[in-house]
Order: sequence, then structure tokens, then C-alpha cells
Amino acid sequence: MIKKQTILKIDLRRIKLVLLPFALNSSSRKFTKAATPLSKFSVIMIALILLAIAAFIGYFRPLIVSPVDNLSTTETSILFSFEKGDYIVLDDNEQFSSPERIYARNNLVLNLKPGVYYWKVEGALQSEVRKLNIESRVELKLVENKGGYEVVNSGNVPLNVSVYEKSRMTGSVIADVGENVESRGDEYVGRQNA
Amino acid sequence: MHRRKVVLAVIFLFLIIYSISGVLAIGVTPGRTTLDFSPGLKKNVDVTVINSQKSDVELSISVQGELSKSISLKQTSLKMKSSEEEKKISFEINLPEKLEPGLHTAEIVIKHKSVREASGQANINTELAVVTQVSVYVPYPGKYIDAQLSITGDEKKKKFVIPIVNRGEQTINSAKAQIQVYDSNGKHLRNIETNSISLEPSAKGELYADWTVNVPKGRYNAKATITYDGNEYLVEKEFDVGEFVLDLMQVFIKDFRLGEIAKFNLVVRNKWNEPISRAYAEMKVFDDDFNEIADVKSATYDIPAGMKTEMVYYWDTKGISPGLYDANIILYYADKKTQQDLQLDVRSDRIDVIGLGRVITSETGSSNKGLVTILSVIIGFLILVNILWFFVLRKRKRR
Repeated sequence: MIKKQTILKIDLRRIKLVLLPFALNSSSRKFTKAATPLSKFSVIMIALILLAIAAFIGYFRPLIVSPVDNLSTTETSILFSFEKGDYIVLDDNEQFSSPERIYARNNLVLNLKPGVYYWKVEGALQSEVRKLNIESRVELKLVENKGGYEVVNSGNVPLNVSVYEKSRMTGSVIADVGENVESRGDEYVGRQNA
Repeated sequence: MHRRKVVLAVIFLFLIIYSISGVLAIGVTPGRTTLDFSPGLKKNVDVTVINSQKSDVELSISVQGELSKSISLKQTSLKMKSSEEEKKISFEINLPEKLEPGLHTAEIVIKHKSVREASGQANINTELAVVTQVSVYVPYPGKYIDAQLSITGDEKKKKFVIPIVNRGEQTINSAKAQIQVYDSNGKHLRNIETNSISLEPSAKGELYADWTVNVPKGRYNAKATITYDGNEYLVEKEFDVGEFVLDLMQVFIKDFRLGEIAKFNLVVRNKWNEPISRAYAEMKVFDDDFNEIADVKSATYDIPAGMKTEMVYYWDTKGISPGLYDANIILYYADKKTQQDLQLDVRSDRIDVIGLGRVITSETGSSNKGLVTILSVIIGFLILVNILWFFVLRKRKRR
């Protein structure tokens, strides 16, 4: 143990500026042997490469502003705000096996159906992957209308509305999102369809 | 002054009518909670009740359905003030040790109590309820899947996607599908194979395949046979290649003299794989102030599938001066119409049609890509130089 520490001390003193991955071998003994001092030129080159890579990634990686990661909402109109990207890529799985690629520059509002989405932005480089959950919202509005009622689906999923009269079910209506359906009854029960 | 009073009275009347018109509204999110069965599972579920009406409401909460005995409500009523837009409620699911395979459900019903004239606002003598559902999937013995087929893409490339859920008790080691494409006459056209996946019980996965479309526009049928560990499951779906559309290919005018009747010949192509009947064309011509100076129509034509037809209409140019005129040609067929905006350059002995055809432009923002290439080359060069330098250095050291 003591011997190893000594070797490492000597090594560190000798190599001064060593590119460790280049010098690294399977055993500590070999490590000391393979360690090669680098010239100023090499150091400058390495620094330049690292700087160039950092600048490349920093400059070209799309910057996502919204929506935040893991956002859970019942709103179906989602503002995708980002910089340095050309496409929004959406899928229902993290592997993006069947993605939808939407051309967009910086900002775009997309109308999405309830569900879980994984999304990223593609430009010269790809952004991080974010998750978005649009929760289903069952919302029903009843408006009095010419002796009957207008049933309005104001939620974000298609509804199956059961219509009752004097506690007996008299029928059901399917109302799409935003749809108004005229009906007669004294009780209405709305649930997510299918 | 009198007019102002009338306007105010109308507004007042409108407000009164609006305020006494009865509206009831209520909401709940999520609309459904889905669980995979586990013997004796206990789970607490939160849902949010939405006071859509933004008024003081009193709600009753109850459970119904097959699994109603497995659900315990923490409250059976709920009061919300007009200031409260939403409120969370919770219930507990206690599943039994055993359930039959398949889907089992329960419904939590949130009911808006009838409050006729109670508050002076709500005056509907009826009840409104929304439901949040609980769905529990119990796995089937052995191997069992649920699958759907969805088809996306354009007329050049289609993507077939088959989301699969393993609803069985056992792992599916290999699931893949063969998709057969048929035309509208049932003639088999193509066989397409998807990828292969394995699925643990209750897991979801996707089979997919791309198809470079090489068939005429029209309606087709895709039948996917999913093979999973020796079992089969069939899903099918109709899809369209291209749009049901008449394409205006060319407009030409022969033997024209200004002041006479111009004969317009339109070459149109039926891109669909079925005949289009009773199609006709209409041309409208506008002057500099965009006033309509001509509106002419052709006769009707029946165009066979995939064929070109020449449609003809006439424009009387009496009183028309030489110059550039805006025009549009509208093709009417079935219940559709397609419009082509163009310009007519009218001269004493000819009419040139300007603007027919499409302008293909490159996407903007490609300058970034050029910069990326340059930077990539520089980085690559620097890495190469560094590697070379490293080897030279090692060689020198050995010497």
C-alpha cells in the first residue's frame, strides 16, 4: 500500500501535465511506465478541442423553455417554447419508436389528446427528453333550451352521457369534445367514452 | 340621448335574460384510473372535482358498478364555494384476493344536487353528474394480448404502428406482425414485416414497420396478423394513399384575338383510384381593384381513375384591355373544390397563364447546418492532429 502511494507521488511529480486516459494502463506499475509528459502544443490542442466541443454543444443544443419536464395538466393546448430547434418530436414511449415529427421554429402551440407524451426538440443537435402528461377531464355543462336541455361537453375527452327521466334511463348520447347535443331528461350522467 | 337609453335598455335586458338562463356545470379529472390487478391491492386515489360553474355548489359522491364493494369513499358529500375552482377528493381501492380474468370497473359518481331557486342563480330542475372510472385489468391465464393498428404518414411513406399490451399471466418471448395490404377490390398487394419484441406481463410495446408507398392514390386495407409465441391476433384498418383530388395540370388558350371569345383548355388529372363524375371548372377574373369582371364555367365531365381530361370553358374578352389580371380557377367535384390562384397576361393576340404550378423552396434556417458542418470538420481535424501528435511523441520517447 505504501509502495503504491510512493509510486503515485513520483508519477504525479514527473508527469506534470499528463493526459491521464492516454497514460492509463491495466496496472498501477504500467501506469507509471506509460506516463508521458506532454508538450505545450498538445496541451493547447486538447484545450482547443475541449473548448470547441463545449462551444459546439452549448451553441447548437436546443434550449427548451416550456413546458417543464413532468408537467401534468388537463389543458390540451400546449405551448412548446424553445430555441435553436427545427422539429418537435413526440411519442408515447421513451424509445421514440413511432414518433411524430412536427416542424416548428421556436414556439408552437400543439393541441394534444389526453395521454402521456415524451418529447424532445431536434435541431443541429437534440435536446433532452421531457415528459408531459395530459390528464383526461370529464366536464359537462347543461344549458336550458326551449323546454329541453343542451348538453355541452366542455372537457377534453369524448363523453358518453346517460339520460334519465324519473330515475329511468331513457337513452344515451355521445358528445365529442366541445360538442353540443340537445336532449330531454331530468338527470344527466357523463363519463369518458371508450 | 334617446338612442343611448335604448342601447342601455337592450344591454340590461340581455344581461337579465343571460342571468336567468339556467346553466349547470361540473367536472372531474382524471376521467379514468387504470390499474393492473394484484391480489389484495390497496391503493389511495386522488381525483379533482372542478367547479366549472364557479358558484356555491353542493355535491353528492357515490360509487356504482361491479367493483363498488372494493371502493371506500372518504366522504359522500362536498361543498364548494364560488371562489373554489377545484377541490381534491380521495377514495381507497381494496381489491379482493381473486377476480376473474378481464376488465373490471367501478364508477365514482359526483352529482350536482338539484337546487331550484335555492340560491337565486341555479334554476334548472334537473341533476347533473360526472363520473370518474376505475378500471382494473386482471391477466388472462397463459399468453394473451390486446392490440390496435394505426397508420400514419403521407402518400410517399406510411408507418404502421401496432401498440400491444400483454394481458396474459405469462411473458411473451416474441411478438411480431405481418401486415398485408389490399386494394379496394380486395387484391393483395404487399406483405410487410414488423420488428419483433418481447413483453413481460402487463407491459406495453410497439410493433412498427415503414412502407415506401408505390401504389396509386386511393383507399386501401391493411390486415395485420400478430404472431406471439405460437398464437395469432388479427387487427385491420382502412387507410388512404393521397387525397381524393383533381389536379389542374395545364391551362392553354389557342388562336386568341383580343375582343373575341377566348377558349380556355384545362388539362386535369384524376389522381384517385376511382372515377370522379360530374366535375366542372369555374374561372373568375378580377381587375386591379379586385372587382370581379368575369365568372365563367365549364360543362361537367366524368373522369376515369388515373386519367387526364381536357375541360373547356369560354371567356368573352369584349371590352377587356391588354394587361395583367388576377384570376382563380376552381375545380368542383363530388363535395370538394380545389382552387388555383393565377394571373392572366392578356395581350392583343395571346393570353399567358402565370402562376400555374408549385414553387418549391428550401426550408429556411439551413445556414445553421453549414456552420455545424464547418465546426464538425474543425473538431475532427483537431482530434486527428492530437492523435497523430500523441503517437509521434510516444515514438520519440521510445527512441
